[in-house]
Amino acid sequence: MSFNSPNFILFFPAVVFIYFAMPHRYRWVALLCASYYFYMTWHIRYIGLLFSSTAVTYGTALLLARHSEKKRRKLYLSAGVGFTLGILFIFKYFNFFNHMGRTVFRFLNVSYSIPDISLPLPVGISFYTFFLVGYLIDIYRNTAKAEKHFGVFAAAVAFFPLLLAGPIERAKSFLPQFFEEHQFDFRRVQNGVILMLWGFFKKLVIADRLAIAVNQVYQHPEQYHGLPLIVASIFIVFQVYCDFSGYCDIALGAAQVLGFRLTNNFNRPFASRSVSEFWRRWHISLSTWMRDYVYYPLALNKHLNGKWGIITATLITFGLIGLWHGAEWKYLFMGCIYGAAIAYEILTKKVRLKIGEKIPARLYDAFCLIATFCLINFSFIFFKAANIQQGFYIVTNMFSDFELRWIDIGLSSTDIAIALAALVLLEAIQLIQSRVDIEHYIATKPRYMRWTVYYTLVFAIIIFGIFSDTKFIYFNF
Amino acid sequence: MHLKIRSPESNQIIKVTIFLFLGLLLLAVLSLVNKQVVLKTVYNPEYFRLPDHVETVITGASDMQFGLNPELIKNSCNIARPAEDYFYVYYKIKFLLNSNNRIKNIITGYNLGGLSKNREDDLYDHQSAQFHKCYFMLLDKYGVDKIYRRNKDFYFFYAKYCFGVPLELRQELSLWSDILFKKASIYQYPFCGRFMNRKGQVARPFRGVYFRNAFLGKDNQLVPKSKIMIEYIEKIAQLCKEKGVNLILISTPVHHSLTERFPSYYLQLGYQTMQKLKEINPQIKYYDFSTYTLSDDCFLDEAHLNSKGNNLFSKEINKLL
Repeated sequence: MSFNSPNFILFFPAVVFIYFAMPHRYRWVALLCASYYFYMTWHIRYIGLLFSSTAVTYGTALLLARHSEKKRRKLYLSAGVGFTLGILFIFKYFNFFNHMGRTVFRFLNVSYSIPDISLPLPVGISFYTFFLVGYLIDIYRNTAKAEKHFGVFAAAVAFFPLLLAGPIERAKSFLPQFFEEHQFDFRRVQNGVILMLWGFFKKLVIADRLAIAVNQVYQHPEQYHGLPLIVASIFIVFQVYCDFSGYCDIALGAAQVLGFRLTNNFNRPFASRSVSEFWRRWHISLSTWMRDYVYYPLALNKHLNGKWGIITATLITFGLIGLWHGAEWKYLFMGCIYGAAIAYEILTKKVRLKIGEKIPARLYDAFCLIATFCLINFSFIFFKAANIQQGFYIVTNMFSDFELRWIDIGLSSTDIAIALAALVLLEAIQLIQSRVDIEHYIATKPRYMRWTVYYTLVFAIIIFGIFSDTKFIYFNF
Repeated sequence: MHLKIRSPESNQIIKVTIFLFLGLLLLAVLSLVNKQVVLKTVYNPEYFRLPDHVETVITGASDMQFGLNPELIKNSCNIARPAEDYFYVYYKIKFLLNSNNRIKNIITGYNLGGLSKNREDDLYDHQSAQFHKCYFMLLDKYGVDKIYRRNKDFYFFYAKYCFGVPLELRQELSLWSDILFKKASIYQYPFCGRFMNRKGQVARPFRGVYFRNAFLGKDNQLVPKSKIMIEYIEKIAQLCKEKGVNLILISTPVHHSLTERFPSYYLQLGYQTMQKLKEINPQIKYYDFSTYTLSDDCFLDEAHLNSKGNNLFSKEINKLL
């Protein structure tokens, strides 16, 4: 069951009703059952996997909390993290490394007979695994308390709004919310529903519309040269953004209806003037997770000193961010692009500051904005391409045989206009939101105005949306 | 006097109820207007008019869409669409023949993969449902029941076409306005494809994707024939006979790496089905170009022609018409 399937329209109100109808102390039961049911509609056989990861992490956390001996704690942490990451490795990375092993052995002329594993990737495995690993490390570092209530802990791990594609929450801010008594606050519920609708708008009206063109071109890029490749490649960035941020808005809205506060995963990423700024605005829960649990320990390592130590830590972190998306060379390459760009920013910081002082600030900002967007765009070509070779094919053919003749890419000019208008609206609303609290602003308006806004949003989704029940892109990770 | 003061909760419940009621009322009105005005106009065969010169219509799946250049075949148009199987071809032709009396020839593909159970499974497949939604309005009750009974993924389209719910109304709305202003082209209809003239070739060697999609099941075993597809290709033959239109079935050239692998079961099935079709409609013409010798650079992939290939092939077909 996806957020954009009709089943969810029945499922979600039913969960909300049951949740608020139950006494506070048993609400975790409702959430746990609803979340496990939600997950089972995707993969009934992988529910055991989710449960075992939860149970092992729960037990490990209690052991960590009970013992203070450093060596023993390290052992427990390694075992707990090893177990959860081991499952992730088997499902997501085993075949990748197995292929590498096979290639090396073939090169050495040694026989190699370990077969590949042909199991579908459990939906959301990267997200809940990172939540669990972060939880264990926090307890090891004594920055969070081990949860004693297994039911609550299991409900938090499987919490259905964020189970499939995040945001990757932190246990220390998320778990205590399960002990707060959430009232049915009409204003909060209303705002949550509006946020969900806004997410549906992004997904159905913009992302799925752009996906038509992107998929048509990227399924057979050999059939295109020049302009269609450029247009489709620009569309990818907005498609992925609207798809993922749309999902996050629905998740945040659904959680808000139930009384939970989740991390906002996006903050106007296309307003970034550098790649490092982009990663502070894009998939924030992943980038901060990587910063806290990978980058800082590496950068503070005594063996990695000075500027080059920081650059090494940056490259490793972004390589891992790339691999987090999937066990493919294209993702690793994508991560390396970001790592190299940030390394460049670190190395040229002084020079760039000097240049910035000589050029009018607005011009310099505009240049940085465009340059950053182009680089992000370049990396997203590899994100979408079937493999790294196809990515390079697209890059090298974008400006070859270039002619300003339009070739059908599956979208009519009206559809392109709708998508562009919706994108402008999106950016405008986000810009306003960064200055004014829109929820509050709308709430102060007379009822007829508020209702007009709500009806317009709903009917815009119905009339302009693409109802193809496509999966959210980040469900693949 | 006893004054009853409503609690804030009950006030909110009343407001939500009014909001939902008004929303549903608005939806019902829009649905009614959509069904009675927009959809009725858009799917009225009277308005689905081919250009005056067109006497030959090319339908079918991507093999036809990539294979036949309408500019090289006199008085023709190519409205084939990817993955258009016989089930949908039948309804498309039926809709087309309702208001286009000038049509003399219907050309459609005759490929062995189109007779396999895999194509039938596509009718019930979730992803195909999204792809085939544009034909929904053309189906008769028998057709709707046939797929809707087994594929609830059509609920969106069922709601849209049977009750007029304005889902994705944008698409029909622009077509509707173009019809009103007499600017509509048949290519605006979502079920009409366009000729695809692609340069280049995909990477070699071919990976046998088409063969697997056409003939093999999930267990890599040969799949049986599709009763529905055979039923519908027979219906196409019958329909053309009744309407007095020539039905021309064509097997487009495919790369030798694919023809070499054609299963004998399907070769036999193709032959038997053709015999049956000729019994139903003796006027059927069948041209088998599947083994037609074309150089490798004429193929986009193992089952589709590129611009060089379709140029040569279309000229050949034009000579035969």
